[in-house]
Amino acid sequence: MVSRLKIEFSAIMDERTLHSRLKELHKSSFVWAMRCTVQDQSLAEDVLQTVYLKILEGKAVFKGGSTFKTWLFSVIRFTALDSLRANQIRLLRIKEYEEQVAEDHKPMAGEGEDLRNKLTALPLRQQQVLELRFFHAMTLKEIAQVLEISIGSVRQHYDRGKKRMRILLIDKS
Amino acid sequence: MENDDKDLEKIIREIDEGVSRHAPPFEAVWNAAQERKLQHGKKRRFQWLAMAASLAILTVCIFLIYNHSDRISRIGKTQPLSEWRSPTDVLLDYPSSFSLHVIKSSPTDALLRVGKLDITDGQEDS
Repeated sequence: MVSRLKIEFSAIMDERTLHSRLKELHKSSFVWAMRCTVQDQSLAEDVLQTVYLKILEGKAVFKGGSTFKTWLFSVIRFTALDSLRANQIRLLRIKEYEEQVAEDHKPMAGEGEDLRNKLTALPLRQQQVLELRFFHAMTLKEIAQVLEISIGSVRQHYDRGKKRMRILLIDKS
Repeated sequence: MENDDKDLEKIIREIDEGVSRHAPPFEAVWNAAQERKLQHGKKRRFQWLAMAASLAILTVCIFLIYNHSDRISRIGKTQPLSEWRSPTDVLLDYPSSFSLHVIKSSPTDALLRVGKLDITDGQEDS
Protein backbone atom coordinates (compact mmCIF):
# COMPACT_ATOMS: atom_id res chain seq x y z
CA MET A 1 0.00 0.00 0.00
CA VAL A 2 2.80 2.37 1.01
CA SER A 3 4.87 1.51 -2.05
CA ARG A 4 1.83 2.03 -4.29
CA LEU A 5 1.28 5.45 -2.76
CA LYS A 6 4.94 6.23 -3.26
CA ILE A 7 4.72 5.30 -6.93
CA GLU A 8 1.58 7.39 -7.42
CA PHE A 9 3.18 10.33 -5.64
CA SER A 10 6.35 10.12 -7.72
CA ALA A 11 4.23 9.88 -10.89
CA ILE A 12 2.41 13.07 -9.91
CA MET A 13 5.70 14.78 -9.14
CA ASP A 14 7.13 13.68 -12.45
CA GLU A 15 4.19 15.02 -14.38
CA ARG A 16 4.39 18.29 -12.50
CA THR A 17 8.10 18.62 -13.15
CA LEU A 18 7.55 17.70 -16.77
CA HIS A 19 4.76 20.25 -17.06
CA SER A 20 6.90 23.06 -15.61
CA ARG A 21 9.90 22.17 -17.76
CA LEU A 22 7.81 22.05 -20.91
CA LYS A 23 6.19 25.34 -19.98
CA GLU A 24 9.62 26.88 -19.44
CA LEU A 25 10.76 25.75 -22.89
CA HIS A 26 7.45 26.35 -24.67
CA LYS A 27 8.44 29.45 -26.64
CA SER A 28 11.79 28.01 -27.69
CA SER A 29 10.01 24.79 -28.65
CA PHE A 30 7.59 26.74 -30.82
CA VAL A 31 10.44 28.60 -32.58
CA TRP A 32 12.16 25.27 -33.20
CA ALA A 33 8.93 23.67 -34.42
CA MET A 34 8.48 26.60 -36.80
CA ARG A 35 11.97 26.03 -38.18
CA CYS A 36 11.38 22.29 -38.57
CA THR A 37 8.03 22.78 -40.33
CA VAL A 38 9.57 25.30 -42.72
CA GLN A 39 7.80 28.26 -41.08
CA ASP A 40 4.28 26.87 -41.27
CA GLN A 41 2.61 28.24 -38.14
CA SER A 42 -0.45 25.99 -38.00
CA LEU A 43 1.66 22.92 -38.66
CA ALA A 44 4.14 24.02 -35.98
CA GLU A 45 1.31 24.35 -33.45
CA ASP A 46 0.01 20.93 -34.40
CA VAL A 47 3.50 19.43 -34.09
CA LEU A 48 3.91 20.91 -30.62
CA GLN A 49 0.55 19.51 -29.54
CA THR A 50 1.50 16.08 -30.91
CA VAL A 51 4.82 16.24 -29.05
CA TYR A 52 3.03 16.98 -25.77
CA LEU A 53 0.61 14.14 -26.51
CA LYS A 54 3.51 11.74 -27.13
CA ILE A 55 5.00 12.78 -23.79
CA LEU A 56 1.67 12.44 -21.97
CA GLU A 57 1.03 8.99 -23.44
CA GLY A 58 4.55 7.87 -22.60
CA LYS A 59 5.47 7.30 -26.24
CA ALA A 60 8.35 9.75 -25.86
CA VAL A 61 10.21 9.20 -22.61
CA PHE A 62 13.13 11.25 -21.37
CA LYS A 63 15.74 8.80 -20.10
CA GLY A 64 18.41 11.31 -19.16
CA GLY A 65 20.85 10.38 -21.93
CA SER A 66 21.16 14.04 -22.87
CA THR A 67 19.81 17.35 -21.57
CA PHE A 68 16.04 17.71 -21.42
CA LYS A 69 16.10 20.47 -24.02
CA THR A 70 18.16 18.41 -26.48
CA TRP A 71 15.78 15.49 -26.06
CA LEU A 72 12.69 17.67 -26.50
CA PHE A 73 14.08 19.34 -29.62
CA SER A 74 14.91 15.96 -31.07
CA VAL A 75 11.33 14.77 -30.48
CA ILE A 76 10.02 17.96 -32.10
CA ARG A 77 12.24 17.43 -35.14
CA PHE A 78 11.05 13.83 -35.64
CA THR A 79 7.42 14.77 -35.14
CA ALA A 80 7.74 17.66 -37.59
CA LEU A 81 9.29 15.35 -40.18
CA ASP A 82 6.44 12.87 -39.73
CA SER A 83 3.86 15.65 -40.05
CA LEU A 84 5.50 17.03 -43.15
CA ARG A 85 5.60 13.58 -44.67
CA ALA A 86 1.96 13.03 -43.77
CA ASN A 87 1.01 16.32 -45.34
CA GLN A 88 3.09 15.52 -48.41
CA ILE A 89 4.50 19.00 -48.51
CA ARG A 90 7.96 18.33 -47.19
CA LEU A 91 9.64 17.74 -50.52
CA LEU A 92 7.78 20.60 -52.09
CA ARG A 93 8.69 22.99 -49.30
CA ILE A 94 12.34 21.94 -49.19
CA LYS A 95 12.59 22.27 -52.95
CA GLU A 96 11.11 25.71 -52.71
CA TYR A 97 13.68 26.59 -50.08
CA GLU A 98 16.51 25.20 -52.11
CA GLU A 99 15.38 27.30 -55.01
CA GLN A 100 15.23 30.30 -52.69
CA VAL A 101 11.63 31.18 -53.29
CA ALA A 102 10.76 31.58 -49.67
CA GLU A 103 8.76 34.72 -50.44
CA ASP A 104 5.67 32.58 -51.01
CA HIS A 105 5.78 31.29 -47.43
CA LYS A 106 5.43 34.20 -45.11
CA PRO A 107 2.62 33.33 -42.75
CA MET A 108 3.70 35.95 -40.27
CA ALA A 109 4.05 39.42 -41.63
CA GLY A 110 5.53 42.09 -39.44
CA GLU A 111 8.75 42.98 -37.74
CA GLY A 112 12.05 41.52 -38.93
CA GLU A 113 10.49 40.19 -42.12
CA ASP A 114 13.47 41.15 -44.25
CA LEU A 115 15.89 39.50 -41.86
CA ARG A 116 13.72 36.42 -41.72
CA ASN A 117 13.79 36.16 -45.50
CA LYS A 118 17.57 36.32 -45.44
CA LEU A 119 17.74 33.44 -43.00
CA THR A 120 15.17 31.37 -44.87
CA ALA A 121 17.19 31.80 -48.04
CA LEU A 122 19.74 29.37 -46.54
CA PRO A 123 19.41 25.60 -46.92
CA LEU A 124 17.21 24.14 -44.17
CA ARG A 125 20.04 22.31 -42.39
CA GLN A 126 22.13 25.49 -42.18
CA GLN A 127 19.13 27.41 -40.85
CA GLN A 128 18.59 24.76 -38.20
CA VAL A 129 22.23 24.74 -37.11
CA LEU A 130 22.43 28.55 -36.92
CA GLU A 131 19.18 28.77 -34.99
CA LEU A 132 20.17 26.08 -32.51
CA ARG A 133 23.57 27.72 -32.03
CA PHE A 134 22.57 31.37 -31.79
CA PHE A 135 18.97 31.42 -30.58
CA HIS A 136 18.83 28.30 -28.43
CA ALA A 137 22.46 28.66 -27.31
CA MET A 138 23.32 25.01 -27.85
CA THR A 139 26.79 23.58 -28.14
CA LEU A 140 27.85 21.86 -31.36
CA LYS A 141 27.66 18.53 -29.54
CA GLU A 142 24.07 19.19 -28.50
CA ILE A 143 23.18 20.28 -32.04
CA ALA A 144 24.66 17.03 -33.33
CA GLN A 145 22.45 15.11 -30.88
CA VAL A 146 19.31 16.99 -31.92
CA LEU A 147 19.92 16.62 -35.65
CA GLU A 148 21.45 13.15 -35.28
CA ILE A 149 24.48 13.96 -37.39
CA SER A 150 28.19 14.02 -36.57
CA ILE A 151 29.85 17.03 -34.95
CA GLY A 152 31.98 17.36 -38.09
CA SER A 153 28.85 17.79 -40.21
CA VAL A 154 27.42 20.27 -37.72
CA ARG A 155 30.63 22.31 -37.90
CA GLN A 156 30.49 22.24 -41.69
CA HIS A 157 26.85 23.40 -41.80
CA TYR A 158 27.62 26.03 -39.18
CA ASP A 159 30.60 27.51 -41.07
CA ARG A 160 28.86 27.41 -44.44
CA GLY A 161 25.69 28.89 -42.97
CA LYS A 162 27.57 31.77 -41.37
CA LYS A 163 29.51 32.45 -44.57
CA ARG A 164 26.38 32.40 -46.71
CA MET A 165 24.44 34.53 -44.25
CA ARG A 166 27.20 37.15 -44.25
CA ILE A 167 27.17 37.23 -48.06
CA LEU A 168 23.39 37.63 -48.06
CA LEU A 169 23.56 40.42 -45.51
CA ILE A 170 26.21 42.28 -47.51
CA ASP A 171 24.33 41.74 -50.80
CA LYS A 172 21.03 43.01 -49.51
CA SER A 173 22.48 45.93 -47.60
CA MET B 1 35.53 37.28 -37.07
CA GLU B 2 34.07 37.11 -33.56
CA ASN B 3 32.41 40.46 -34.11
CA ASP B 4 30.77 39.04 -37.23
CA ASP B 5 29.51 36.10 -35.16
CA LYS B 6 28.03 38.51 -32.62
CA ASP B 7 26.24 40.35 -35.42
CA LEU B 8 24.87 37.12 -36.83
CA GLU B 9 23.78 36.03 -33.37
CA LYS B 10 21.99 39.34 -32.90
CA ILE B 11 20.22 39.05 -36.25
CA ILE B 12 19.14 35.46 -35.67
CA ARG B 13 17.98 36.29 -32.14
CA GLU B 14 15.96 39.16 -33.54
CA ILE B 15 14.34 36.91 -36.14
CA ASP B 16 13.49 34.14 -33.70
CA GLU B 17 12.24 36.47 -31.00
CA GLY B 18 9.82 37.81 -33.60
CA VAL B 19 8.68 34.25 -34.25
CA SER B 20 8.39 33.39 -30.55
CA ARG B 21 5.92 36.26 -30.06
CA HIS B 22 3.46 34.27 -32.17
CA ALA B 23 3.71 31.20 -29.96
CA PRO B 24 0.31 29.97 -28.75
CA PRO B 25 -0.19 29.95 -24.95
CA PHE B 26 1.32 26.87 -23.33
CA GLU B 27 -1.81 25.95 -21.35
CA ALA B 28 -3.94 25.94 -24.51
CA VAL B 29 -1.59 23.53 -26.29
CA TRP B 30 -1.17 21.38 -23.16
CA ASN B 31 -4.93 21.14 -22.57
CA ALA B 32 -5.54 20.27 -26.21
CA ALA B 33 -2.93 17.52 -25.93
CA GLN B 34 -4.62 16.18 -22.77
CA GLU B 35 -7.98 16.17 -24.52
CA ARG B 36 -6.50 14.26 -27.42
CA LYS B 37 -5.04 11.78 -24.95
CA LEU B 38 -8.50 11.15 -23.49
CA GLN B 39 -9.98 10.69 -26.96
CA HIS B 40 -7.18 8.28 -27.87
CA GLY B 41 -7.92 6.32 -24.68
CA LYS B 42 -11.60 6.01 -25.58
CA LYS B 43 -10.73 5.02 -29.12
CA ARG B 44 -8.27 2.40 -27.89
CA ARG B 45 -10.83 0.97 -25.43
CA PHE B 46 -13.37 0.73 -28.24
CA GLN B 47 -10.82 -1.02 -30.45
CA TRP B 48 -10.07 -3.55 -27.70
CA LEU B 49 -13.77 -4.20 -27.16
CA ALA B 50 -14.36 -4.60 -30.89
CA MET B 51 -11.45 -7.01 -31.12
CA ALA B 52 -12.69 -9.06 -28.14
CA ALA B 53 -16.22 -9.18 -29.59
CA SER B 54 -15.01 -10.27 -33.02
CA LEU B 55 -12.82 -12.95 -31.42
CA ALA B 56 -15.80 -14.26 -29.47
CA ILE B 57 -17.96 -14.33 -32.62
CA LEU B 58 -15.18 -16.10 -34.49
CA THR B 59 -14.86 -18.72 -31.74
CA VAL B 60 -18.62 -19.37 -31.77
CA CYS B 61 -18.59 -19.65 -35.57
CA ILE B 62 -15.69 -22.12 -35.51
CA PHE B 63 -17.48 -24.17 -32.84
CA LEU B 64 -20.72 -24.22 -34.84
CA ILE B 65 -18.97 -25.17 -38.07
CA TYR B 66 -17.03 -27.95 -36.33
CA ASN B 67 -20.13 -29.23 -34.57
CA HIS B 68 -22.17 -29.23 -37.78
CA SER B 69 -19.58 -31.16 -39.79
CA ASP B 70 -19.22 -33.64 -36.92
CA ARG B 71 -22.98 -34.24 -36.90
CA ILE B 72 -23.03 -34.73 -40.66
CA SER B 73 -20.23 -37.30 -40.43
CA ARG B 74 -22.07 -39.12 -37.64
CA ILE B 75 -25.27 -39.31 -39.70
CA GLY B 76 -23.24 -40.56 -42.63
CA LYS B 77 -21.74 -43.31 -40.49
CA THR B 78 -25.01 -44.65 -39.08
CA GLN B 79 -27.05 -44.67 -42.25
CA PRO B 80 -25.01 -45.02 -45.40
CA LEU B 81 -27.29 -45.69 -48.36
CA SER B 82 -25.44 -48.83 -49.46
CA GLU B 83 -26.04 -50.49 -46.09
CA TRP B 84 -29.68 -49.65 -45.86
CA ARG B 85 -31.93 -52.57 -45.03
CA SER B 86 -35.66 -52.76 -45.04
CA PRO B 87 -37.46 -53.54 -41.76
CA THR B 88 -38.61 -56.91 -43.18
CA ASP B 89 -34.98 -57.94 -43.78
CA VAL B 90 -34.16 -57.08 -40.22
CA LEU B 91 -37.14 -59.15 -38.99
CA LEU B 92 -36.09 -62.20 -41.03
CA ASP B 93 -32.54 -62.04 -39.70
CA TYR B 94 -33.49 -61.55 -36.08
CA PRO B 95 -36.96 -63.06 -35.55
CA SER B 96 -36.37 -63.56 -31.84
CA SER B 97 -35.92 -59.90 -31.35
CA PHE B 98 -39.75 -59.60 -31.50
CA SER B 99 -41.96 -61.56 -29.11
CA LEU B 100 -45.09 -63.34 -30.34
CA HIS B 101 -47.16 -61.03 -28.26
CA VAL B 102 -45.82 -58.12 -30.10
CA ILE B 103 -46.36 -59.77 -33.44
CA LYS B 104 -49.91 -60.61 -32.54
CA SER B 105 -50.70 -57.09 -31.75
CA SER B 106 -49.31 -55.92 -35.02
CA PRO B 107 -51.59 -55.22 -38.06
CA THR B 108 -50.54 -58.52 -39.63
CA ASP B 109 -52.64 -60.32 -36.95
CA ALA B 110 -55.56 -60.32 -39.33
CA LEU B 111 -53.67 -62.78 -41.57
CA LEU B 112 -53.06 -65.07 -38.57
CA ARG B 113 -56.73 -65.12 -37.70
CA VAL B 114 -57.71 -65.97 -41.27
CA GLY B 115 -55.17 -68.85 -41.16
CA LYS B 116 -53.27 -67.85 -44.17
CA LEU B 117 -50.09 -67.49 -42.19
CA ASP B 118 -49.00 -70.14 -39.72
CA ILE B 119 -46.03 -69.20 -37.71
CA THR B 120 -46.68 -71.60 -34.79
CA ASP B 121 -45.92 -74.74 -36.88
CA GLY B 122 -42.45 -75.32 -35.59
CA GLN B 123 -43.35 -74.50 -32.02
CA GLU B 124 -46.25 -76.99 -31.81
CA ASP B 125 -44.22 -79.76 -33.46
CA SER B 126 -41.56 -79.48 -30.83
